[in-house]
Amino acid sequence: MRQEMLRIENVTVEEEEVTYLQHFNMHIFAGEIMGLMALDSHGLKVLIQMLTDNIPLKYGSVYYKEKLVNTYRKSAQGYNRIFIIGGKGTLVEDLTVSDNIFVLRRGFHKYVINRKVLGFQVEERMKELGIYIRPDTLVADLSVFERCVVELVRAVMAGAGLVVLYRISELLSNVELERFLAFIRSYAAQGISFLYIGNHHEEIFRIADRFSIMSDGQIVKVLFKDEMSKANLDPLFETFHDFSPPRKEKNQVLLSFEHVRTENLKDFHCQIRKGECVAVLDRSNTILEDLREALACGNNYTGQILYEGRPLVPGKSIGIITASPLKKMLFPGMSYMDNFCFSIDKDAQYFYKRRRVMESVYKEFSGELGEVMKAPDIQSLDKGSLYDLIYYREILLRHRLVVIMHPFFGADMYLRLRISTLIQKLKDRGITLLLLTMSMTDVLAVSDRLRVVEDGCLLEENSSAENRLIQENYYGEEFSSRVAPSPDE
Amino acid sequence: MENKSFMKRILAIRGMGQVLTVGVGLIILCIVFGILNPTFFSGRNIGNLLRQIAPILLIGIGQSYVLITGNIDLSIGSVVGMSCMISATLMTKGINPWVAALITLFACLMVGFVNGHLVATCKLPPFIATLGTMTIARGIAQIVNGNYNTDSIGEGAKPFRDFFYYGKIAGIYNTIIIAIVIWLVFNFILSKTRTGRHIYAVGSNIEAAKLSGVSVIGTVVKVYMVSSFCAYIVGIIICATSGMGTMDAGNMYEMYAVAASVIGGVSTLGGQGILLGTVIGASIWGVLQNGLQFAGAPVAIRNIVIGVIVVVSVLLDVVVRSGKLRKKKQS
Repeated sequence: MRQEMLRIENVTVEEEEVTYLQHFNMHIFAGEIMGLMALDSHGLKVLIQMLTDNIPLKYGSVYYKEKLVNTYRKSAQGYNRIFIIGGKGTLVEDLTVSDNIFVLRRGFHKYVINRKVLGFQVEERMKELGIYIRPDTLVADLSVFERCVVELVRAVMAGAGLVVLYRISELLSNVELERFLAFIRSYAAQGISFLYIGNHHEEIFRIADRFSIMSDGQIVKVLFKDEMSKANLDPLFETFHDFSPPRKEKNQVLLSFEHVRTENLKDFHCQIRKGECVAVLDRSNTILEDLREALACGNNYTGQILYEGRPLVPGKSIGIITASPLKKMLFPGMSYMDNFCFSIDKDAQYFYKRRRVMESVYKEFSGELGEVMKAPDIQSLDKGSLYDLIYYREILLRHRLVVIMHPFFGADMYLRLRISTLIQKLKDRGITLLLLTMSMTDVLAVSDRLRVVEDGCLLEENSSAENRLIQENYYGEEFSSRVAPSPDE
Repeated sequence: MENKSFMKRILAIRGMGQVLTVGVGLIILCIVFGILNPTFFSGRNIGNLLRQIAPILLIGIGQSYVLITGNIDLSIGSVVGMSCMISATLMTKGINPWVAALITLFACLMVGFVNGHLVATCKLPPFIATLGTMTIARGIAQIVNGNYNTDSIGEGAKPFRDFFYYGKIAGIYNTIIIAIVIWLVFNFILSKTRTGRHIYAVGSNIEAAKLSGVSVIGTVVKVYMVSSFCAYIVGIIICATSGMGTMDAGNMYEMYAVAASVIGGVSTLGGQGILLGTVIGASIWGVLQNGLQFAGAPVAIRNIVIGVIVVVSVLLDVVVRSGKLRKKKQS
């Protein structure tokens, strides 16, 4: 009989009178890769915490490796050997790879450390995976992909039966992800189970043996391998409609990259027309920061970036929305209006004009943004309202080109829908958009064109045909048909 | 397998770059002071210089341990004073010097234990917690003999004084040997043992350390106790040197300890630094004090020079770190 690695039986978890998990059921067999997609993030973190730390349950039981580890009757609050990869990161940057894998793990008993022995063991493990990472390399010097590999090897060495992969597609480029998934498959074949938490069904279809969908702290559907098709998910996705935009005539070039080279980018050329939404997909995760810096600071590149035919003046008329903008683009202690009007015309900084300007801004936007604009402190607002604030601020500032870094990073399905709507709103206002991303999904639904870059090189100048081929390779024809054709066609 | 040259391997050790840089700085300083005053290199001056450096190195070791965990210990100077006063007072009351030293050790380690728990268990900011214990320890140093310095610890304490200060082994003063032995032990612990890795882990990424099963409270308590132990030794050395207990012994030593650590490349942000750097940091401090004194520079100038060097060292650390962060972002 197949060993059951994890069984979560009818679990309900409540914290401070909020129910995070409700009659939650899940079981994972040894060597199985279970996919999990959360339509909303509610309860996801608590689920992970429950798996690792055995937090108190209101009802139900949890079995790990066929042993009861947590129950509503008695919560041991001990530690399960379940590892999380892709969250905050559990490696210590100032220590070496071998220290992280061996020394910093529960159950390492040797007091005096023999570098050579540990190094040899690390090399053996890496050899098995067909990858070479020096054991004495400091973690701080590793790439994101290498860190994920080190975390995986560490989990395996620590005897983990289950490894949770938390939204790793947001960290890794497509090429890296494909390589990493191969490692996952090889370890799964050795009997280690994986819980793959992803944002997209297309992504999970590629790897998972079974697929659970979670909503509001409950599992609402489980699909087996042969049932994994979009048609089976459609009833759940009714709310999440496509955003394929109507074709518009866009002739005038607003932004033009002409033979732009940076440290990682090789001869990039691309034209973006007014009102267009272009996505640049970096499959190797090397050039996006270079592009952002070139547009924001105007340095670190050779070649030309033209804005309306003239050399670009950095920052002028260009808005940049960073990845995780809630952390980086808002001031938590300030009111909604202070945040909203923060970078508005300098005149508004004078107190005698500021009130008038604020009133006028409120009048203009309150119809769309609503009463939240009166919020004295944005910390009380939900994520959706905060995203509204950030995106509508671009409209207020009259930016004609907005660069959005990883627009859907860390967002659950409902938030993705909201962000898609906001991107559409910017497009409706005639704002030209440049989306810089590592993940193809979602971006395809909102963009007019896609430029794919790998190892710093543009894969194909004439977008549509080649892009479709890439998309089909990844997600099948059904998905690629959602992409609007390129104006080049 | 990729072969790395010896130099590359040395430079790959985190913080070694800065250690080598300040090492070169130290050599240059020695040459300059040697040229300004040839007696700088006399055997007698070198012996004195090393004896001057030894206490700074000892408290530097303790402070480096604490700094690597991302904390700070401001109570070091007061613990030095406390150690000096308690041991001297007990000796003047007729207690055997070695027993007195043992009782003092217990009292000093208690300060480290309290510091560690205030920071790790009670989550007090280390600056505030150790500022409090600094005042308390200084108060104890003052109260222990009724707010007076002690009398001479007497002839009976001669073996004790010889052991810690006046004695020599193979022509090397015992103080220097004690400092070297303590450095070797704590350097071994920091660089070769699991405890050492835990210390770096707590300073580098406390969340990751917790998730990896590292006892953060245990580690922080240990480093504060190491710091107190080092301060205790220095207090005992001062007691042995002067043959009496002085209430203001160790005054400002916490700052010297920070200076020695930081100049030697120990990061105030935690997670980085090696004790070899602390040796060089303490040596620079000692050479500057000694050399400037020889050159006739007033105390104020010496303080200014050391202050500037500390600021430049921290600035260097911040610049190097932010540069690395930027590089990492780009990659």
